[in-house]
Amino acid sequence: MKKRANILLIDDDPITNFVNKKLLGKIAVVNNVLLANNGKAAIHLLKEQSDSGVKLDFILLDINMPMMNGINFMKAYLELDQINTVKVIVLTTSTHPRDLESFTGLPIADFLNKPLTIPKIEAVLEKHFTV
Amino acid sequence: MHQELTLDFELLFNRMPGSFLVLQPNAPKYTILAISDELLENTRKRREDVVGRGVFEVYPENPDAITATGPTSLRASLQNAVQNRVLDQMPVVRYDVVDAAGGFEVRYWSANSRPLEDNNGNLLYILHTTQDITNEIIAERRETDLRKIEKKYSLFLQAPLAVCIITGPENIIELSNDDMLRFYNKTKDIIGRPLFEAIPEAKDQGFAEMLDMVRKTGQSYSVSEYPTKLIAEGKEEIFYYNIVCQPYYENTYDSMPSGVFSVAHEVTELVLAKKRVEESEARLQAIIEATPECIKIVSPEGKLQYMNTCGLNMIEGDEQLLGKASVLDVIAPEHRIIWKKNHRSVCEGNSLSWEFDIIGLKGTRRRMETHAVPLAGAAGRSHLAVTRDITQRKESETALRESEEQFRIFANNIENLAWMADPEGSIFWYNERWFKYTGTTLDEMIGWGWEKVHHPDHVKSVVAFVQQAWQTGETWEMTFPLRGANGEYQWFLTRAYAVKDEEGKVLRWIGTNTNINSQKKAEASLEAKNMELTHINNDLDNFIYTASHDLKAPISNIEGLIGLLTEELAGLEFQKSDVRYILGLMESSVERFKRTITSLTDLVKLQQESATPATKVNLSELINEVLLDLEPQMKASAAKVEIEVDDCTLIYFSEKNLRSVVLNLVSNAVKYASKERELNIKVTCHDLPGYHVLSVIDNGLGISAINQEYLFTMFKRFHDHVEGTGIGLYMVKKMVEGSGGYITVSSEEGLGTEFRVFFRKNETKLN
Repeated sequence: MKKRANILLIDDDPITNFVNKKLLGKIAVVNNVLLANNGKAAIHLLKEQSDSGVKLDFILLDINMPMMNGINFMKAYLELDQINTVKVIVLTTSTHPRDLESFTGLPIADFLNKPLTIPKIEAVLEKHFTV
Repeated sequence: MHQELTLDFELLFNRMPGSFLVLQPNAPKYTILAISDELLENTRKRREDVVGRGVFEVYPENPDAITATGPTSLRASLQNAVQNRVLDQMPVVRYDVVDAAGGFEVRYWSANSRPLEDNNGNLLYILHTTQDITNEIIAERRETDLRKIEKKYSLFLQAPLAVCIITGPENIIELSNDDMLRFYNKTKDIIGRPLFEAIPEAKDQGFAEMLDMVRKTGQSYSVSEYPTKLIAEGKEEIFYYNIVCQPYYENTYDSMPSGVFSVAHEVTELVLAKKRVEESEARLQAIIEATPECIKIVSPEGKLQYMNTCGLNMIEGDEQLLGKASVLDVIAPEHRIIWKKNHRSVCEGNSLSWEFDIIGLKGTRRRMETHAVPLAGAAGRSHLAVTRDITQRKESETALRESEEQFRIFANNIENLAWMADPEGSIFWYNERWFKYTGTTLDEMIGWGWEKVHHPDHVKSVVAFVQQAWQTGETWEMTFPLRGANGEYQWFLTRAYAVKDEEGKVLRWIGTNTNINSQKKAEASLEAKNMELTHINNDLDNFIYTASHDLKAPISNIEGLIGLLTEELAGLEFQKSDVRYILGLMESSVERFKRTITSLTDLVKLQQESATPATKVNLSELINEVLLDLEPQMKASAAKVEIEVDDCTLIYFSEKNLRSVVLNLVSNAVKYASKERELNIKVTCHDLPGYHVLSVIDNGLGISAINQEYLFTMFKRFHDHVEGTGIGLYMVKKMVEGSGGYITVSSEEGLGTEFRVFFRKNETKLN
């Protein structure tokens, strides 16, 4: 049986989450899609996940969010007491230098321009997800 | 006994001291019977040659001596004694004696003749007793002579003259008056001694030669102001004498002078006085000649009697003028009347000073300042003047006055308040603006009065600062408020400049106060505006960022949702053409909205990336890459592209921007192709002085003249048949101009368009 990817979507926009979840659901290699609408919720969820034993493969991370934005999430995520094997893909609305600069020095696997499309997701998974 | 008593009378007589002759009274022969030894000796005779011969035979008359009356007197005496039988006392006679050489020797005698009778009264002998008194007579004669000379020259001798008579080759001092003795500091006992033995110091001063010459030539000799070294009170001093030396003849019949009669008149005082006068005159003359001013004497008639060299130079004349030229000739015509009037006044005894112009004989005009005084003289009063050339002074005075006038006009008309202060900071001058602004007067302001117009809150610190500044002597600046005439304070920038002499000493301060009130206000408002603008800029940036982000998110969502909806409706409803059509419209609207947002984002990026560094870019390669990117569009429009860029292989530009430029221009050519003909695009590049010029030429639609004007403006689109945001050319222009280049366009509607991009070459940076 083929291994399928577990993905965590972190975005404060529920519509985006809805659309992206639908898109991911259409892709064969995607197994489970988790949702968090801000960084804090994501950290909380990550802690729960590590307890439950589910292994995440990807995090699709939005930048601008209330409570805890993408960057602060990355900082908090790195402080988590677990081995970080998850690939973080940052979702951006633009390649605005201001956005990209702020991630300098953080372990980001890739950047994806919004909106997500099936070909874009497939390309990224192919690149970073080895079975 | 008797024998012993017998006397040899003859022997006795012969040996008796004295001169005796025993004569026989046998006139006129008077035979010599006996003669004493002494007389024989005196007269250089031998007894055997004398006894028995007549007395006049033995002692003849001296034929040369007319005055020698000896023989005549003797005969008379003998006669008297014989005839009258009395003792005849003879007067002193000169009876010269034949000397050994056969000549006569002058002799003076005192003698008497005594008749000797026997007891019967018979005359037996004449006893002639004589005494040689030659020495006494000569001595007496000298005394007499002296007395005679003294009598004769008594006037001289008593006069304040040194008189002496020097005789013989040995220069025996025959006579010397008291003055002469006093002069030599000697007494009378030098008389009779040789001069130079008595007064050795006189020897080497030319006197010996002088005396010799006069005595030998018989010519009188006189010298004036003859310097003579003498010892006076132990010190050697020079005295001056007028000396007259005349030959002195002892006897009137003497053919050769026996000595020199010398009269010396001391003129030391005179000579010294004269010397002093001469020195003083020479000094005066030197002073006059050295004076760099004109010194002149003008006669009452106006004749130039004297003028020093400096003066002659001023009037461009020479000494020939003195005594002849009229001073009036060099006075400038317009000054002559005044000059004549003043000249007359000076000659009448007044001292005057005035100024006038002269015109030198060569035409040079000079301004003179004269100080004239009357000068008394034999021919009445003249005009003595010291005159100075003040042309330069006048010129510089005029220049200074003009310069000061200009300064005052300038200072009074500048917008600034201005002032001047002495080195201690006491202000002595303000310009009119100061008084106008402060509404004060000079009397109120003079010195430290300026404190009155300072703001009470500031005056203390200003005074402290300024007092320090005066002392350092360096130019200073300060800002403070000053009270205007209306009572309001305004801010001024004060700048004080220290005017210094060559040694760096402060001579005065020149200060200006510049009203900076409006600047101060403007500064404040500018700062506020700047802050506002920065805010706005930030806001705008944030807005565009937000727009590009926050608008993109919902539009992405809408896009996604439409995608999902399209799939959901893949069943029944989707078959209806309306739904499909509406979904299509929604998709294209979303597409357009996204493009606009992308353009906005690009614009922000362009502004932020304007500092992209320029590099050497291979143009040919870059064009090929761009054409590859545009291949689908190119194929669609079946464009033919011609590239001629060998002229410029390397362009100095940001590669990203160059790509953008080429992409925009080529894609525009494709977008705005004419449907009526096959599209031809030509890309060339030429190496021109200073620039690489890239041309993109098409045969497309062309741009109308009016539209060309707005071609490079943001969000201008002239066609709606093609996709576009109206930002491409605006960005191209920005990029090209941002690196010092420019872009031009030439186009004709319906024929085509040519864009020319001028990239500035930067050779130095390239190297």
